[in-house]
Amino acid sequence: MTQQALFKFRLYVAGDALNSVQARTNLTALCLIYLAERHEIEIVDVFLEPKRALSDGIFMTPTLVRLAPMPARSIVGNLSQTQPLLQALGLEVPAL
Amino acid sequence: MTADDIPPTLENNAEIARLIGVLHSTGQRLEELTAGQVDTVADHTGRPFLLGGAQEYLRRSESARQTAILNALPAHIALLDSQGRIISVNQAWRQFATENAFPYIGFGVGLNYLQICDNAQGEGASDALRAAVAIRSVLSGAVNSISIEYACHSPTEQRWFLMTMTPVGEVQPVGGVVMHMDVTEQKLNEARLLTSELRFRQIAENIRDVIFLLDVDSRRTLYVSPAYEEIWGQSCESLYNDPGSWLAAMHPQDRAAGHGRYDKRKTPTVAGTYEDKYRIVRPDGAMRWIGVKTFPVFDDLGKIIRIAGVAEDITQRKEAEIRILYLNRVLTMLSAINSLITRVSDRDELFSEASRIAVDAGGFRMSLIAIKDPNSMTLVPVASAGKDEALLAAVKGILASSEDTGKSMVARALREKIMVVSNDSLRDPRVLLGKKYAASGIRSLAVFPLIVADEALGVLVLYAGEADFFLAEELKVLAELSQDIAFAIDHIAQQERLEFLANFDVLTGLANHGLFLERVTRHIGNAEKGGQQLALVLVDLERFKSINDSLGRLAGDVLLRQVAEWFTAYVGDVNLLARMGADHFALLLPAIKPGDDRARQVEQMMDAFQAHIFEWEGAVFRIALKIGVALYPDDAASAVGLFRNAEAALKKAKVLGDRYLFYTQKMTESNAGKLSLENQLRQALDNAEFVLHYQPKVNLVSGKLTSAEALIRWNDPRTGLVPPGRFIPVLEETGLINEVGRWAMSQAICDYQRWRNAGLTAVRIAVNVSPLQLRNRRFIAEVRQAIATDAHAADGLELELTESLIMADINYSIASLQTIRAMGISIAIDDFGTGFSSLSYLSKLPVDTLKIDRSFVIEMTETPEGLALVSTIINLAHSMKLKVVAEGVETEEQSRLLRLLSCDEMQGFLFSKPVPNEIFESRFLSLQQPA
Repeated sequence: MTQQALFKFRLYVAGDALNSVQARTNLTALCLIYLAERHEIEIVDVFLEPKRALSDGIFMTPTLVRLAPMPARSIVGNLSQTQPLLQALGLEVPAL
Repeated sequence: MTADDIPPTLENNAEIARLIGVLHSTGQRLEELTAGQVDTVADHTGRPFLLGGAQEYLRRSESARQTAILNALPAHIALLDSQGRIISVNQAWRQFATENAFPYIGFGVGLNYLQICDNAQGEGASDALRAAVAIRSVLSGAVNSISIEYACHSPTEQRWFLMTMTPVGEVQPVGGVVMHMDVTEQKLNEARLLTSELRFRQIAENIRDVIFLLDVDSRRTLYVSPAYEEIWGQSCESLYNDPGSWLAAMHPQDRAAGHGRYDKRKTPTVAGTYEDKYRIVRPDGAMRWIGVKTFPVFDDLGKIIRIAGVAEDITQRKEAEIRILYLNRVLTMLSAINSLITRVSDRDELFSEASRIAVDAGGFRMSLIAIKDPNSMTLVPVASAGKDEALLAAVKGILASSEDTGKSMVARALREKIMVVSNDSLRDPRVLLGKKYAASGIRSLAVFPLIVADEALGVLVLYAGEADFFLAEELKVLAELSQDIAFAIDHIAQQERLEFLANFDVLTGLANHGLFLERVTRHIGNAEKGGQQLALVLVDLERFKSINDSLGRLAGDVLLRQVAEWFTAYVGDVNLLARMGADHFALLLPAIKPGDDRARQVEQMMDAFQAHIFEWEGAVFRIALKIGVALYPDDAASAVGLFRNAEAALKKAKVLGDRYLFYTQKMTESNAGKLSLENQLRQALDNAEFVLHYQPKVNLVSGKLTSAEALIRWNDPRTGLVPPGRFIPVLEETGLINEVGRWAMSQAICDYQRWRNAGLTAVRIAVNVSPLQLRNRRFIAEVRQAIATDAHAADGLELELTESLIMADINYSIASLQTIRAMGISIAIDDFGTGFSSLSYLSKLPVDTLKIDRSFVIEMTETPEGLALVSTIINLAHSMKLKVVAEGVETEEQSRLLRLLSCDEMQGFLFSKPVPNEIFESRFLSLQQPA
């Protein structure tokens, strides 16, 4: 993975429900810090597009899917624990 | 948090579906399992199912959000049910209620708002009723929403509110939202805006200047004040409709002069204040001067977006300026022409310079001076200046043609001797060349007669480029100026006349003696360069005096004129001729060739002259000539020398009876030996040719001799006694008077002593002192020396000084006379009454005797004033203890009157004229009777 790699995320949320709002906020903050200028976020509200979540095989919200770089990864939850999240996304900064 | 390391698979999904089924049965359990981090779980149809926690959160957050929004609003909001009861209120409502001591518990929640309004009392009652009506109409579904503005002033401030009512419920209102907004600020702003707008209008509409605002980009007029209509004579509306219309009104010349500054397609934009002045032509044809000032209006970025400006009608000021300018022009011209007049001595120069000054300094487009030709009585242009030669020619043509001139302004000015003015030459029927003038930029003109001795000699015509140039002030100055020019014409004429008199003989018009010698000098200069000879011929008309005597002066004059004409015709050049004396003429024959027979030339001329018949009243005359000739350079090198020698030759010819003689050296030798008068007088002194005569003064009462006045006489051995008028002035001029005066004084003293020694009744002798003597610093010493001969010498001497001599340097006179008087010599003032004495000095003068001038004595018997004057002088002298002697007494009548007036003594022919010493002694001095 290079520094220039583009991260594409899709976040499945349930309207303004608390965890969904938090997940959105946390993801946005994380992208600004670690992936400035090299990320894309797509938000899918399951209330508005229930069929799409189903066809995507998403059963719980909030769920974050990393579409790129491959391989795809799914993370369920409000993304409040930054360290495990970075690890899961392959963005963990090596300890000094 | 749950993290899948692998992507979901079909197996996984089945497993999850199963799990979900379990979880659904136990929702609580699901929450726990997901650590509360999951909001929804899909059901078996894939529809998301909101978990309990999320549900509760969403419900709470929606309500909280709405409440927060409501509370955040500054308006006071209450929710009413369909009956008008207050269900809930927002924070602003609560706060307002608190601050204004709203008299209801719980901020009115639960109360019926309609009832509150219905029951309102006092000031706001009518507004409250209005509100109630409006609320009911909304709650009943009659109207969709209402808003009412009302005042709600507190004791400390003015407040306005806007109440709005909106229904709640989709079809039929189930309630409504009442909102009160504080619109005080807005209301005040509106009021302020209205006030400011009013002020602006009052300023803009009442100031008589035009105030305007232009938009730079659209070039439109955003505002123009009503004064525009008054000044431009066009409606403001017209300007709004056509932003370029103000420019169309601009005077074409000024638009052209603006160098495209006023481009119709541009709005003038200048970063700083801009000022301009221009003229406009109103629809009614009137012209106005406009002074405009514009100021740029910038936006935040410093770009000019608008132009604000003020335009003022400065017509009056401009006209005043123009009047001052015009007046200054004519004053400058007046001053320049006056200075010209003081230095110019030639008529042509006066005219041409005055014309030029009128154009250069006076700013006239053209000027013309025309003078009446005394022979043809037509006007002849003598000088002109101007920028248009063709027009000048046309004007001259008009003046020359006699039929047009009669009607013209010029003719009228000449005829009536008044100035004639046309301030609009294009439209004035009196102006014959109006159109031509206009084409040359002339719009007005004035004709000023040049009047000398009540006769109009000519005219000064001034052409101005401006219409209405000649108003009262300018005309006054210009009339004065034309008088000055007329004065100068007269002055120059007089100068020329004087010059003529100084240089020419009036009778014959020939050069006189002085001018002829000047001309001869010039010819000598030329002859010297050219190595030529000249002959000066002096002509004497023989026995001409007898013609004068027998036929009279008139006949003599006529003949002299004929003689002059004859010589002019014979010589062919009047400049070579002169009349040198009564019957003397001179002529110069220039450029004589060495071989010429001059004698033959002279003889021929004499023969021709004598053959000519002169006539007077039918009588014929032949006149004979005598001629003397002197040649340059042989006989003399100067004009004077030539003339003197020619004169000598002429005299000799007369003496010898020759018709003519050429000068020879011998002729002047006898003259050269002659003494000049000065030398003769010197010799007279040396040879003791001067003598003293004595005139007695007698007492008017007793008739006895009192004293004598000594008078100097010259006894020339060749000619006998010379009258004093012939030589006394020469003595004064040459300074010889000092010596002769000294001699007279010592001679008088000498005679006095002789009389004494002879035992005669010696009388005091008065000796005259001349100005030169008194001014001589050694004079006093000389007097002292003269009287030192004898102890009694001073008793016999009186010095007579004229009044004017004493007054010339009064302080010096007083000092000198005091000294002399201290020696015992008495002092007399001679010719009293002629020297304008200051009486205050008279009393200070150390004198003894006052002699009344003979002119007063003569006057005394002729007019009462003369008598009074002499009487006054006598009384005045007596009051100063002075003795009075009357001079020049010639009649008994004078003597009698003087006696009556108590005059002390007299002197004059009545008693005796001045006589030689011997006669004086024998006639007036008797042997003294022994005591």
